Amino acid sequence: MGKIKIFDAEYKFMNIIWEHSPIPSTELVKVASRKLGWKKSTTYTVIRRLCERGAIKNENSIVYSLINREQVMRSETEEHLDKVYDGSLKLFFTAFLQKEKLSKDEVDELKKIIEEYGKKEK
Amino acid sequence: MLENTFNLLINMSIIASIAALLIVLLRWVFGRHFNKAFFYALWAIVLIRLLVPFSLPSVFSIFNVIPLAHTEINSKSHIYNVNDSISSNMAQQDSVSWNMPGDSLINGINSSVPSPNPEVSVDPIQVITFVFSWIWILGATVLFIFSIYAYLRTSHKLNEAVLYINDDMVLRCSKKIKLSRRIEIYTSDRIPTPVVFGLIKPRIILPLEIAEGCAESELEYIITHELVHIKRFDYIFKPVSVLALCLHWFNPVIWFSFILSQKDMEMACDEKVLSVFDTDIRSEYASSLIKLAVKKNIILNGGLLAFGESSIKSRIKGVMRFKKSGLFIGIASTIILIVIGTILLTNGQNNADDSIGKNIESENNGGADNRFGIYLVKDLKTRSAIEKNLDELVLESDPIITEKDMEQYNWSYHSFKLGKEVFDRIPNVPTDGLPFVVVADGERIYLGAFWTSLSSVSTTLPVIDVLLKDSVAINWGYPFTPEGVSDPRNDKRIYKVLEETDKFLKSYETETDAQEDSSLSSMGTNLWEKDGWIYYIEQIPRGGVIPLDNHVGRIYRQNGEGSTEILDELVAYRNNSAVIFPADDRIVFMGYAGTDVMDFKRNVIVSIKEDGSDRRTFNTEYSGGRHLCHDNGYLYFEGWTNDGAFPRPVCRLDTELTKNIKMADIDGSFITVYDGYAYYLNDSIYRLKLDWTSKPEIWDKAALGKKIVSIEKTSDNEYNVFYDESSKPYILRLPDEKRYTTR
Repeated sequence: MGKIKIFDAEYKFMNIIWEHSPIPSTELVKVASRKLGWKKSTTYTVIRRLCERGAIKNENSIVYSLINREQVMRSETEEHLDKVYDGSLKLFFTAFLQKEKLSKDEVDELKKIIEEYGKKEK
Repeated sequence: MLENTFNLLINMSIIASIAALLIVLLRWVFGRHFNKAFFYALWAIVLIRLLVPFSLPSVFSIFNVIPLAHTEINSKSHIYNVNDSISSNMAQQDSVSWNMPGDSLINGINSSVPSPNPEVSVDPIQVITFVFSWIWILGATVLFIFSIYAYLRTSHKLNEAVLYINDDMVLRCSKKIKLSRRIEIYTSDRIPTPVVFGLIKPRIILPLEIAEGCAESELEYIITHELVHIKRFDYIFKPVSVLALCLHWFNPVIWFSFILSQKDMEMACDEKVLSVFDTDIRSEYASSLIKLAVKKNIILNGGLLAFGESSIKSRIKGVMRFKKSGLFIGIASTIILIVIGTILLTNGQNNADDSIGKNIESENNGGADNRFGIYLVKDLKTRSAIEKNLDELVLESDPIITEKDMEQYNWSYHSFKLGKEVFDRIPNVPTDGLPFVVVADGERIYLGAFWTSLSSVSTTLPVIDVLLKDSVAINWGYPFTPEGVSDPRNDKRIYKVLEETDKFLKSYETETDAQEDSSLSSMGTNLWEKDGWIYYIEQIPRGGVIPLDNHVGRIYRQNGEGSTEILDELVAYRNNSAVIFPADDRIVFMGYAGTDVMDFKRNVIVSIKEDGSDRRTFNTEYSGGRHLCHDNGYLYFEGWTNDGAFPRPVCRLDTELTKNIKMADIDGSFITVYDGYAYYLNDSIYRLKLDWTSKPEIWDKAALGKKIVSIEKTSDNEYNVFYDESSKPYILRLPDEKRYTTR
């Protein structure tokens, strides 16, 4: 059996399951709410997704882990391929900064600006 | 409805654009001297202008100064100007159909002129407005739905962010910026940059790599930055701005403003962060901006927001230039903000306020300048205007009718005469009316509406029927006066103004001067005199729902002592004249059975006593009863047959309308009965003794073989006979066979 791709949030959720498995799903919702700050619906969405991937199973409202830590491949998100998502982040959410693709020259130029201003002050 | 919203939106867009361009100018000139927070606050003005459709009028408003703005704000009035010519064309058409047959009793026997229907004519500007408003709403809807979709989808992903526990730091940062709300921090590997998420309960979401990989001090900057956003409610303003963008999608200035304002928002936020740290953190802060930007090169490059100088570069410059602003700059920018806010957030004054000012003056010096005014309500449908407070309504700056336009105002009937040029000022009136406000001495008294008697929409407002030229009245309600409510037209303030401006015609009660009567009879037509009473009829602009040439008049009488009695208000007017005559001790006329809308669809024969009592109606078949006349104590009229079918019955009715008898079948169009003879028109004018035994005889031999177009009754027993439309009529007088030419 190959390794199962798990993203960060899912990994943190899996940690809870590994710790408590088997755990009633209602109980899991409570723990996830406390530890991860998740809403009930979010927890169930992730449970469903992990079930589909074969990482856990949900039988009679009890969640079992089907894999152990070694079988997991922690994976990087692919969200940056999603333009709607990116655009929406920019449009609706106040962000620290918008990601920009900077070349090395540009970075150097920016650094120079900082230095120059820094000097002027002194 | 949609077109009105669209017009309103265009106005808002133009106003907001003017404000935006002004801010861009300020930003360009003073960019270095003022904090970004100052400009960010200015952008709020644009946002308000984009979304809030009303604002207070003010003397200080820039829209007093910019005439361009003023004319364009009234983009509707621009449309009106174009419509004016159309409506005056229409008026001409109307007057043709109105006046053509003059005072005819009998007309169009052989031919009838189809009435022009002004509603059918298409106004190209309305069509364009219609099309554009649909394009606009379509675009806005698509953008809006897409925005919601994108927002929800993103929310869904952000829901899976994981709580990040670092309460100490959050508390420390919150304290720095004096934020009392408790904000939770989350991490996620699905976002490239820290964001604030949630509209009701905002939380900060950090990219996992930042949460795990950044130095404590950097985290502190980032979290403080986000907390400032939360404190300033930027996380709400941003989606609201997007909403405004969706609505004003067609306006490039607004897109431009959106981008600039977002830049200013971030930079204002940077400034705040820099100012709350005790030490100079500019270099570190700027460095972390670069670091965060290069940490991972996301392929999607700026797109919508990449504009002009790269935002990171301007932010770094902004950060490095930042100085904690002195007291002076602080005070100055606050004052400037208030001033600019007043200038840009208020609308130009309209004349209603103007006239308040004027009237305070005029009351002081006793002069009068525009004391009574009827102002159109700006950009509102009648229905929407009713829902608003009178004082909330935005009026056009100039009144459409003032006391100067009217010779005299008849207080009894609220009627007055107007010149044609006044009507030309009134824009096209839709079937649900054009609302106006009557203003006396600067005070708004009541809401009314210009109405058209083509309309099948009813209202309880006072209305002015625009299809009646020349002499109009403010009638209360269309088609009927509402009951059990006090009459808004009788307001004392209006009374006072009219009295003081000498425009006042106290109607019939106080006329002692016989000469003055001329003005009175100009209101109503003198019908006849009997037993010391003079009977008048006056067309009143209400009713006349359908058909086009049906109107309503009232009959009233006055005696030498000056008392006036209204006898009936449901006299049918067709083609500007009414069939009405005394019949022994009664008055008989064509009128309406009642005041139900359906009653206005057909005429009935009405008989009232001379004092207006004992009203009786007779329902002729299929609205027959043409050419009702009175002869030797009986009423005669043409009974109904299929149009064009002959012979036609002549019916007789007693004056109390109780007994209807067929008197003859005539082979032609009935004209009248005179002294026991029925006169009718075929290839000549015939007459027939109504005894069921006599044969018809040719009465007017001269007319034999000629095509008679129409016959008009000019007096009791005189008729004008028209051979064709261009020739002069000759006069027929009954019962003589004598003919007179009009020359």
